[in-house]
Amino acid sequence: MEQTIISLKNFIPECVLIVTILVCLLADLIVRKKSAVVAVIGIAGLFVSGWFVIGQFGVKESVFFGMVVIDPYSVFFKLLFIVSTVFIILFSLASKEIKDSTHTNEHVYLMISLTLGANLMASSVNMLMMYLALETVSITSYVLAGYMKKSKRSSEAAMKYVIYGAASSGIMIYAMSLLYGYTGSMNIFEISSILSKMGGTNPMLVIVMVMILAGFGYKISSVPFHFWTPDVYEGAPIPVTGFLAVTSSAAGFAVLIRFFSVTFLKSTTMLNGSLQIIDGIRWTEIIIVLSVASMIIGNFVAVWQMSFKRLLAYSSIAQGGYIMLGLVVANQQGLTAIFVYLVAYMIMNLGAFYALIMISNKLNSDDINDMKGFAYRAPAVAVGMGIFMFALSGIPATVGFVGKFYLFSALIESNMIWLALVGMMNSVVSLFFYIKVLKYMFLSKPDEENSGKIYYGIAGYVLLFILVIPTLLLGIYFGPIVRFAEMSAVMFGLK
Amino acid sequence: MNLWLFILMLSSCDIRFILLVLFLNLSLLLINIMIDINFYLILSAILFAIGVIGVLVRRNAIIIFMCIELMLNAVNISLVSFSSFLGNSSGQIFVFFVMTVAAAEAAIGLAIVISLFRNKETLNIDEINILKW
Repeated sequence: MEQTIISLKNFIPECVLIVTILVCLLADLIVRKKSAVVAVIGIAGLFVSGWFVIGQFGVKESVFFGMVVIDPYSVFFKLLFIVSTVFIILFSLASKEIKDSTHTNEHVYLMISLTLGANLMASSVNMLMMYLALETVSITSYVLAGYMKKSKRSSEAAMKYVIYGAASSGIMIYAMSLLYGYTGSMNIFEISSILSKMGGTNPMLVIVMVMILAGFGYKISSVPFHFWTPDVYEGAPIPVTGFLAVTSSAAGFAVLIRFFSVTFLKSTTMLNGSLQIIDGIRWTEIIIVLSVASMIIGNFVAVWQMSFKRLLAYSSIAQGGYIMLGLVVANQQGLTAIFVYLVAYMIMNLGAFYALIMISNKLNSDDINDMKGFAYRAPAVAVGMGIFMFALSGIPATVGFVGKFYLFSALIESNMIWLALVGMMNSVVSLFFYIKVLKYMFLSKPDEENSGKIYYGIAGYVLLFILVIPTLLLGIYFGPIVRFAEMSAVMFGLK
Repeated sequence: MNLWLFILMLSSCDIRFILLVLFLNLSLLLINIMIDINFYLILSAILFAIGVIGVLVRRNAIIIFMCIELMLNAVNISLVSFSSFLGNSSGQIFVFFVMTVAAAEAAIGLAIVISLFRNKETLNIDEINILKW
């Protein structure tokens, strides 16, 4: 009892989120029509929670009997999730798809509960907690993907998502039950120390590892588990798509990195520079295969896409591949590179999805053919989209370049030059389809019947500007994010 | 084995009674050879495999959800048997949570099935194909 009360002190951000969800729910019942009030309450709650999260910086503590830890690693991810949720709620206010749906304001508290689940995913160190947090995120995102009840596409996307998600999390917990039977513990630190005593010669452990990777890999949409991604991204409303691309996949990375670098490394050796994998469990090689496959399939299939949402889906599969390259290095530098890349990834993707919301609000379509000559009709939005596309492909002087630079230099310093080369060649391929969008927007003339100018409200331009500024500024002045990433690359229980 | 029962069994012509006696004897036999943890694990593995195969080959969305439930229940059997074998209660606690999550997932899944059926009038997943490539 006493420990529970002490633990609650370190659990305030999550408690604030829970209270916010309940207050939003009540406010929605009272207001009973579409209104910004619920969204404002939600954003206020997120800010309060974020303020408490910042207060946790530097704390390294295990709370609730070793279920959850508070460490700089989890604080980084929590801040990332909260910031992206604030933006996504703002996007959903602007989105026509959400406005036209039959619901009132459910999306606000669904999004905040997804954030709650993601926060727990980033900080859990027990397999039970990992599974529950993952399911919180999954179940909420099934509902969000099917948010437009009247739309065939949205409900089809939700159906595909729920089947894939439930099956792969079922496979994951089966593997977790086997790991529990083999080691007799649910806590990943205990599992790690037991495994390093026993050695990993049992072939069952490899099967367990691959099956657990199926559960986490579906969240980050890594290649053999990526089939849901394009369909769900295309069917879901665009703010939800952005949310899945940013928060849900970053949460998948949070839990994947913590699980693999704690469980399958010899206890407390990860951040010394040299990697000591438990004998017999060569998980870095599997990660290399998945990462290269994700980059190649993501980038090459995106070349043929004519739906912008599908293009962004394949692009996010490829970006997931880049992030996994940092996990292969698995030392302090690799983790720092992952963090820098995740910040860049969040800013670029949020920007791209917001620009897409602005475009498809007016065009009622996400087909690239319909965007012909968009630059003549709404120049500011087209230029914004251009900046985000350049950032996603990693052109210098944008934040995307900084992320890729840190990843590839971490790879080169640990003598994995060929992997860095594969990554760079993939960036070149990705440039092709990102520029293809811009070619349609800038170089072709609009059709005769719809060539009128398109105007947006001032709020729309302001939000776009808020996202363009860090994309460019952090590309030149990237000291702060690198320092922040270096400070955050500290995990509980690892020296 | 009870001699009286055996004689009764032979003298009776009721097939149900014979089957009952045979079943009782068989279970006595199994208890004698000590059911160890492997039996439970094999059962759980078989159930899990049936679930996975069902998810892959069946075409009706509801049956796919049932197969997913089967996978989760296979996990439950495996967790409970490990827990009792190791004398460690955390596996049994996990089972409660798995059951709760399975219920939540089934609720969401069936809600999505209903909304899909209202839009498309079909549950055959081969016909759910607007979104592809």
